[in-house]
Formats: sequence, structure tokens, C-alpha cells
Amino acid sequence: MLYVIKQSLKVISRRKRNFVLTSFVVALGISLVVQTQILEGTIERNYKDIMIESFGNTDLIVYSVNQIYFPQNVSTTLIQEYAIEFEGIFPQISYSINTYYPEKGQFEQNVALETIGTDFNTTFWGGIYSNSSNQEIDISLLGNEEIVISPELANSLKTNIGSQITINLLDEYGNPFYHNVTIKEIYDYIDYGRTGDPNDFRRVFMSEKAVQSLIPTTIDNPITNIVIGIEDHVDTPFLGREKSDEAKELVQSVLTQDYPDYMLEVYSIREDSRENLEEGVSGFTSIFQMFGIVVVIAGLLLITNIQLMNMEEREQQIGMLRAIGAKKREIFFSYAIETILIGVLGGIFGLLLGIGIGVWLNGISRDMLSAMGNPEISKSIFDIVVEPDTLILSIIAAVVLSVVTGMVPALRARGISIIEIVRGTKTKTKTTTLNGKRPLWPFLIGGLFIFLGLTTLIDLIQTGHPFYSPEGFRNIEEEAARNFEALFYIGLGIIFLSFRFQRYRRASLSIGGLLLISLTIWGFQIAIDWANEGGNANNIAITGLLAAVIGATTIVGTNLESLTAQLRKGFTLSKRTRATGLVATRYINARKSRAVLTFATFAVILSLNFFIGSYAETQITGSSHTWEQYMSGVSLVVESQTPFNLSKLDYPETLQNEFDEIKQIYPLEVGMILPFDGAISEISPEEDIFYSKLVAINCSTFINEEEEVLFPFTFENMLANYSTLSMINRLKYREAAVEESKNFWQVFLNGKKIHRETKLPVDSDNPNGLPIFLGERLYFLEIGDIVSFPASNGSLIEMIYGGSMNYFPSFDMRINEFTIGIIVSSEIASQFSIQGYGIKEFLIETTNGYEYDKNKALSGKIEEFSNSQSSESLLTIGDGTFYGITAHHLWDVFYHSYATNANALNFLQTFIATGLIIGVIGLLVVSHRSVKERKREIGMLRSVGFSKKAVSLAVLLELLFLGILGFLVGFLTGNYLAWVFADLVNWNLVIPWVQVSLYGIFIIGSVVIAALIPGWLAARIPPSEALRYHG
Amino acid sequence: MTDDILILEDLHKIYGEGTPNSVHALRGINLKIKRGEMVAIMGPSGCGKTTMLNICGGLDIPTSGSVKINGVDISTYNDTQMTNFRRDNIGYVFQLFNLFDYMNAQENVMIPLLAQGMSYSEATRRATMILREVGLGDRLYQAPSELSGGQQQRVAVSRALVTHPVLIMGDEPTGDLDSITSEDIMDMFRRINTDNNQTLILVTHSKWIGDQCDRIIYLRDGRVVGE
Repeated sequence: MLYVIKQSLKVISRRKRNFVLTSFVVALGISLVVQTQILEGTIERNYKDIMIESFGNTDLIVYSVNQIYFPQNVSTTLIQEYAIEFEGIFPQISYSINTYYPEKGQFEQNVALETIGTDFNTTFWGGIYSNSSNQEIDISLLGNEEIVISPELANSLKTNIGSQITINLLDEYGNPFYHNVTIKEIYDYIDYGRTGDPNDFRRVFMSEKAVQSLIPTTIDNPITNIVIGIEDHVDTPFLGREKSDEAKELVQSVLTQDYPDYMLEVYSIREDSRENLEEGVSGFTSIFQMFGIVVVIAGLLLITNIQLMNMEEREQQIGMLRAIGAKKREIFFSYAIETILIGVLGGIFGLLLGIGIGVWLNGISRDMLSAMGNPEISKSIFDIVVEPDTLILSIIAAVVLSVVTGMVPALRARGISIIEIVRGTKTKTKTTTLNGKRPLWPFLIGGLFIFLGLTTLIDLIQTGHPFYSPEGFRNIEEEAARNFEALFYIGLGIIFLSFRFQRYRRASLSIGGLLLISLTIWGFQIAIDWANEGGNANNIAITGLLAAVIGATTIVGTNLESLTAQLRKGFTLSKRTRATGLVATRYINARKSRAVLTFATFAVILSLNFFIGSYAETQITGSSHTWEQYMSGVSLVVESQTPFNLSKLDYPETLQNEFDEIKQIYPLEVGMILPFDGAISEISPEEDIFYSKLVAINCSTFINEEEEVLFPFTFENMLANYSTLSMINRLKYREAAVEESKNFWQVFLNGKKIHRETKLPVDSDNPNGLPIFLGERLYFLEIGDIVSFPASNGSLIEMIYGGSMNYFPSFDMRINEFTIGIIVSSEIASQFSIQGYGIKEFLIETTNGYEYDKNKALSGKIEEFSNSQSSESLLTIGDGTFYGITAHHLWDVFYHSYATNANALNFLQTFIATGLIIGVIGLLVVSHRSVKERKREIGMLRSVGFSKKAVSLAVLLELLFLGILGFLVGFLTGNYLAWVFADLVNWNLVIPWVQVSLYGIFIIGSVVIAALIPGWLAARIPPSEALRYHG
Repeated sequence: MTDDILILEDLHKIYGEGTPNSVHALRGINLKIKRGEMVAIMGPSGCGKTTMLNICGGLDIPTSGSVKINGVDISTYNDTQMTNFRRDNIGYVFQLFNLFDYMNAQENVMIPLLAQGMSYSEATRRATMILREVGLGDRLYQAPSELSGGQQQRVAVSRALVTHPVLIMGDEPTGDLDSITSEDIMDMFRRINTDNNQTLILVTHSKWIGDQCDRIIYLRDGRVVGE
């Protein structure tokens, strides 16, 4: 054995350059694993830390489910009895208000009006400090009309200590009223006495008494919630699930004594938030991880490619060693030692490279998370997290990768005749072993995949759920996913088995490839279905993507000869490429594995690039189109924080007279509140449309998933179902609907239809026949379905469903986009138990269509014109004061909601771009090695009259073909996936041609460099010398 | 036009000139070969046979001296000129055949014609014709690995002949073949020489091959030592 080790080390020292190059390729692959690990760890840990810290020492929050406000009884029992165990138990009042912005003459800021109770405990809450005296401010000493605000808010309102400002509130009947207050102090900072000070500048502090007097309730000493800190966790960031649940139970039981009539909910802010956060972050990291896996697969292909070259280059040497008596085992160990050393070196390089790239990507990930809704992150130091596991994993992965990828070439080498190698007349490698038997490994791997696939299917059949079946399915997405996995395994199995059964290879490769490609649509369908249910099936989507790439690569690889034959025909047309084209295309066919590995590397990485690129573009344009449909011709909205005076409403006429660009103005009475957060419908006995029942499921309340839902969704069951309904649980309802209808397909197909109207029917002569417009999440409604809502007298009012939401008449969508929006006439509205706020918005249709710049300019002019009106303006509200309007371009409102996705997509694109760069570097290495091993052949070409240029051209054509093939396969699969995704959400695919061209230029440029440099260097060697080369 | 197709004058070749390990492979070779001659170059290993052949065939350049082929001095040619000259005037046959293993027999023969810019169909026609002439009409689409050594060498000879070169160079053309196959190949060379008046220069160790040729030129230590 010592002899073998010595031999291996000798080989390495003699082939230093090859050894280092191979290690480098391994390092490139490993760096992808490392950076994926680092980013995942970094994002998760930092994001969680920042979010959790901002909750400070608060552990539990108690609020009432059935009342917004409840009396402050908590101090009497709880604090006395449990003060030792609880660090602090405090009633809290937090109330959202608007402040008047004198500079612009309008209300703008949504601020939280808060107070601190008289039991204020500085050890728990810290204190608020004045920015002028630096002394702690005692909030309880403030007068009823005095407030304390932050310097940022003071600056924003252009006001100072002693100034008066107006705040806008609602009374207990929902009517707005205005309250003038004086700024007593501007605080410098709030010392919460804990880490993670949120320091929210939109906070206004008043005395407890003052706030309670302003709150719209008849309850004495109202509070909004109770916050509780628990001592036990002082040294640990989290209580832990178990302790947290115990505390919740205890608090719940104790508070029930104080609040027998109130339904109280105890929320463990640390544990529950942590879980929510973990869920949120894991959604992103799982996508990231899956993309990472795909990129690593590209790295794997690259390493296999170079290992294959290593083996081919050493075939003769191995043959010679065998000929002089070396045992197979010795050769295996010699090779194993070499590959392990390559792995170790590659692992170390890869680790360093991965950390380097990870540090660079880290900054981008922080900006992304910051843009995804948590600006706090951009201020924080985003520490790189390199887990010890990553260090070990990188080395192990590198060794495993080297050995595994080294095994394929080693197994191939076994099939080559020693005699032929020694004589230098090696025949084309066949997938047979030395003794003529076919190799076992494709059979084993293929068999394993087929076994996995079949057992999954059998399991599904045994449980009665083989495929989508009308009868008794349990969970559509879960079963679909399992069926998808089963077929994916079978597809892979067929592909592997084809290497065992040569006679059927072409047919089985084609079948396997086509099966995988066709699975993609299904995979995406499942992922989108799950997403609609609030679930996460990114792994299925990414597996679908992989299936597409593997399938496409298999099909192209199988037909490589036909493709190159066509290409050759093309090359014969030009004198210059006739001979070089023949050499290039024939060489590609001769080194098919290498060719497939080379273009597959590009195809895999580029498919991700193109998928994300096209999807991002499609999303922007598609969203824009969708939004245009929503807008129904409306481009601008004029809104006021206060309702307009209906009796004097000639504002639309005034505006239309002033601006020619205004085509039509629709006044909207908005802010209707349904008695519950959802809608109830009833089956129309004549129509027997059961879908309409499902309207009721669309709620945004907190739910308890364990509770049973009562069917059908009748008015009688309304209250029982109220707390149970949830969009996340929609699957249940679908299941119930199928149960009832006995027709799965009808439900399924109807469930995908989204209807949009192009006109905004705000007027109608027939109130009962007026179409209503609901959020598009109500998939089960058909236009014309009867939907009924309970009116204020308890009877049900039937209306005809007129299509999906055209325009969502409230900017609340920014924070609560799932709330149902309904557009009905005011006549209908008056019959409901609905509290109207009066007209607060005007929708404006302009002659500019959807031209952003023109409409944006118009919105500015409208705002300026409206706000410069005198106090006699017809826009005055009830008390005769005009507080101004804000004019928005609807696209700006919408942009906010999709910017988050766009940021995430940009980040993923950057990450994958690093994969592309690594792929190109890999190509350079592969090309260099490939040309080097063809030194003798280049001498032969030169001897039959190939010039240096012709030799370079032959190498270039070959790589160019593979590069372009990879580009095309990547482009087609990536865009195919983007199309599938886009089609599922009713968008048209938009391909970013500029980006595609840039990628094309990059790939071609890289290929030219990768081919010409080694090609030219090789061609410079005198033919007589090249002919003496023997590898 | 002179009758000498190849004239070597004071030909020197030094490998690694100016370095301590330089090798003076050819030391002033003077030689004339007539059109239509079949010449064998013999000598012990390392005497400079292959070097001389490579220089004569434009695969290598001399350190000094001149190489005139068909009256043209190619020793001053740059790489492009040399490539063009080689492509149009020289045919090679090597000991290890040097066929492209990823092309079939027909394509191997077509390659020099395509390099000349000939149309694909014409190159196919000519390659097919010549392969039929050497008895490989039924092996056109076989890969070299599917042919016997003799068949491979016949393909190589066909490739050398197909452009109708002025000179055909053979570097140990039968060195890798058994005696019967060697006889076949030599018969073929002889036929080419007599039927087409083709000039052939064959480097060989084999006395038997030398005897088949019109002339034998002996080399030793980089010098012509006899004929």
C-alpha cells in the first residue's frame, strides 16, 4: 500500500498543473455550496436576531378577540399575585391616528397614539428622555391637551415645542372628529431598558387619562392590550416553546377571572413571532437553497467533466500499469488517494472562495431583506455567519464530490481493453466491462429510482389516492406532490437504465426526457396551488425546474448526432468552415459525454438565469397589465383622510373644468365595514350553484385550525364558523365542496378561473341586479352566481356576482391586501349592517391612458390645485374645515406590493450570476485541458494543411456550438418554466431581450476566449513537435 | 523545369540552439531527388531521418540551408505559406497512421481536400474513388478503430494521395504492420510510383523496404553517408 501511496504522490508531483487545475474546479463547485450555506445561515440568524430583538423584554401580549378595547382591570389581581414570577405586567393603549401636516395642508402621517400606564416600571420599560433637558419625561404629568412627539415627527410636521397640531380620530360611531393638541416636549430617545429599541419615530405620547378620553368607547379606563415580561428568560433570548405555552395558559386562566365576558387571546410574541419569522425566512431560504442545489449540480457536472478528462488522459498509463502487473485494486487506491487529495485541496480553496463570495453577496442580501419590509436591517451590522458545520461540510463535500465524480470516469476506464490501450488503438469506449458484461451501476442507480417511484405510487394506490381522483382525496397538493415525485423518480430511473440496455437506449432516453419535461408543468401547478393555500412547495417547483433541464439535456444529448449533422451541412456552405466544421462536429460526437456535460453545465445555470430574468420581467409587465385591468381605465385616485361634504359635492365638476386631461371622475363611498371579516352566501335553490357558498371562506381573521368548520355556509352557521374561517384552510372547504358536489374536476377547473371586467360599473338602475365585485381570491365564483349577504335586518340580500375585483377602493391593500373589497351602489350599501364613512375617494380616468409620466404630472397638478382652494372650498367636511387631499397614481400604490418580490428576484439573479461566472471559469479550464490533450491531433491537422487559424477555428466552432447549445437549452427551459408560471397566473410571458442579448454576448465572448487562447497556443507548436506528443 | 523535384543544400537543424542541451540533428545535408523516384532513407535511430523528412515536408523548418521543392525554396516560407504549400504539395503517411479516430475512412480522406476549399460533394466523390482504388470501397463509413492496421494504413495512403501531391513522405509506413500487410502497402506504393510517376520518400529501418525503392540514402549522425 505504501508503494501505491508513493506512486500516487509521484503522479501528483509530476502532473502538478493538472492536479491544481482539477482542485480548482472542485473549489469552484464547493464555493457554491459554501456561499449557499453562509448566506442561508447569515440571513436566517441576522434577520431573526433583528426582528426578535425589536420586541425587547416583552414575552406575552394579551388582547381581546371580540372587542377592540377592554377595561383596565388587570392591575388589581395579576400584578399582586404574580409580580414575582413576571417581570412586568402592563396595560397598554395603542391607538392609530392621523396628524395634520400644515406644510402641505393635508393629513399624512399614520401615527400611533400611545401612553404609558401609571404603573410604569422603568426596569421593564425604561424611560422617555427630553431632547432639550435630557431629563426623563413623566408622561403621567402631561395635561389632557399635551403631547410628546419624536424629533423626526416634529421635523416632518414642521412644528416645534409649544405648537398646536391637529389629530384626527373616530368616535364610537365611526364619525371623524378633530382634536387640537399642544406639543409639550420632543423626546430624544426612548430607553426601553432592553436591547432592540424599535425607536419608532411615529409615536405620539399622551397621558393615560387623555388617551382614554379620546378612545371611541364607552368602557371606563379602556386599554388595547396587556404586555407581559417574564423574568426567567433574562439570560436566554427565548423562553422556549414549552415554557411559553405554560405561561400563556397561566395568563389565560388568571385573566379570565378579571375578564369573564371577554374573549382574550394570549400571544407569545417571542416564540410565536420566532415561529412566524422562521416560517417567513425559511420560505425564502428554501427557494435559495433549492437554487443553490441546482447551481451545485452545475458544479458537479463541471467536476465530472474534468475528472473524465483526467481519466481519459491517463488511460494509457493505467493500461501500461495493468500490463506490467498492477492490480485493479492498486490502481483504484492510487486513483482514490489522488482524488481525495484533489478534494481536500479543492475543499480548502472552495471554502475560502465561498467565504469571499459570501461576504460580497451578504451586503446584497441585507439590502434585499431591508427592502422586503424591514428597514431596520439596513441600519444593522449584518454579521457573516460561518457555521463550524460549513467548514467540515465543505471539505467532506469536496472529497465526496471528487470521489463520486471520479468514479464515473474510473468505471468507464474499466471497460477499455488493456491491449488496445497499450497498442494505442483504443476503440470507442463502450459501456461494457472488460469481460464483455454490461456495467452494473446504471442498473443499480436506475433501479433505485424506479423502485422509489414505484413504491411511492404503490403507497398512493394502496391508500386509495393514486392520482387526482374524484373520490375522497385527502389533500390535493400533497398527493399531487407525491405523484409528481414518483414520476420524477421513474423518469430519472428510465434515463439511468438506458445506459444498461443499449438496444433501447435512444428510445428510453427520449421517453425519460419527455416525461421529465412534461412533469414541469405539473410541478409548477402544484407549487402555485400550495402557494395559494398559504403553503410552501418551492421544492416541487425547483424539482420541476430540474426536471425540465435534465429532460431537455437528455433529449438534446440523445439527438446530438442529428444536431451536429445538420450543423455540418451548414458548415459545408462556406469554404472556410468546410474542413473545420467537419472536425468540430465529429469531435463533439466522439466525446459525447464531455460535450453533454459542457453544454449541460451552461444549460443548468442559464435556465435559472433566464427563468428568473423572464419571470421578473413578466411579473413587472404582467402585474402592470393586471393592474391596468383592475384600474378599468382609472389611473389616479384623489383621497382625503376626512370624508368630503356630500351636500356640497361639486368637486368633480370643478376638477373637470380645470383639467382637460380628466375624462371621467367616479366618486366612491368607501370604508364600508361588514359585520365580520368575510362574507356569507346562500345557495340559490333555483340555480343550485354550490360555488357561491365558498365565498364565506375568504377571511383574514386569526383562526384556530383545529376547530371544525360547519357546512354548508349558511347564515345559521355563520357565527360558529366565524372564528374558524381562514384562507390558509381553504383546502378544507374545497374538500368539503367536492364531497358535496361529487365532482372534483368541476371544482378544480372552476377554481382556476379568474374573471376581470374592463369597465367599472359604479352605477346601476337595478340595485338588486347590480354586479358586485369581489377579490380575485374567490376563485369559485362564476360570473352570474348568486351571492347573498346579511342585511342589517338579518335578512339575506341576493346579488349577482359580476366578476373579480376591478378596483380595490382602499389603500388598505398595502397592509391587508386580503381583505375583501366589494363595490356596490350606495343604495345596496344602505341595506347592509355596514358603517359607511362617506365619500373619501374619487377615481379619475384620464385621456392619457396608462402613461405613467403624464398621469403622475397630472396628479401633482390636481393636488396643488385642490389644496390651494380657499376655506370656502366645496370640499369642506362637517366642521367646515378643509384638510386637503392627496392625489396618487395608482401604479405607485401597486408598485410597493411587487417591489418586495422584485428585490428577492434580483438577489437570486445575482446569486445565480456567480454560478454563471464559475461555469465560465470552468469552461476555460475544460477547454485548456481539452486542447492540451489534442496536441498530437493538432499536429495531424497541421500536417494535412490546416493553418493555425483553421485549427483555432475548429476548436472555436466546437466550443461555440456547445456554448450556444447550452444557451439555447437554458433559454428554452428557463423561459418554458417562466411561461408555465406566468400562464398559471394568467400573465403573458415577457422575455427581457436586452438581458438575453447580454447573456448571449457574455457566453459567446467567454467561449471565444476559452477556445481561442488555448487553441492559438496549441496551433503555435510546430507540427513536427506536436506529432511526437503522446498524451 | 529541372528534373530534380527535391534539392537539399547544406541543411542544418539544431534543436534547442544556444542552450547547453542543444542537439545538432542535421549537419549539412546535400541531396537531390528526381521526379518519379522512390527513395528510401535509412540509418540508425537518432541519425536525423525523421527530422530530414519533416523539413522536406514543411512540417519543420531548418536552422540553415535551403529546401527546394519543385524549384521553390520553402526554407524561407512563413507559417501561412508553408501551410499552403504543405496542403497542396505534400502527402504524409505515418507509422501510427495518424488517422482521426472520430471520423470515418471517407472523411479522413476528405479532410485535406476540404482544407483546400473543395466542395463537400466533390471531396466526397474523390475520397470515395480513391478508397475504392485501394480496395476499401466497402469500408467508407467505418471508423479507424473498426479497421485493421493494413486497412488503416491504406486510408492514410489514400489521404496522402488524394490531393495529387508533388511528394509523398512516408515515416516508417510499415513499421506498425505485419509482414504480409507491409508487402501489400509496399505494392501499393510501388504501383503509385510507377502508374502515376509519383515521387515517394520513405524513412525506414527495413532493408526489405529499401530494396523495393529506386534509391537508398544512408544517414548517420545527421549526415548523408552513402547511397
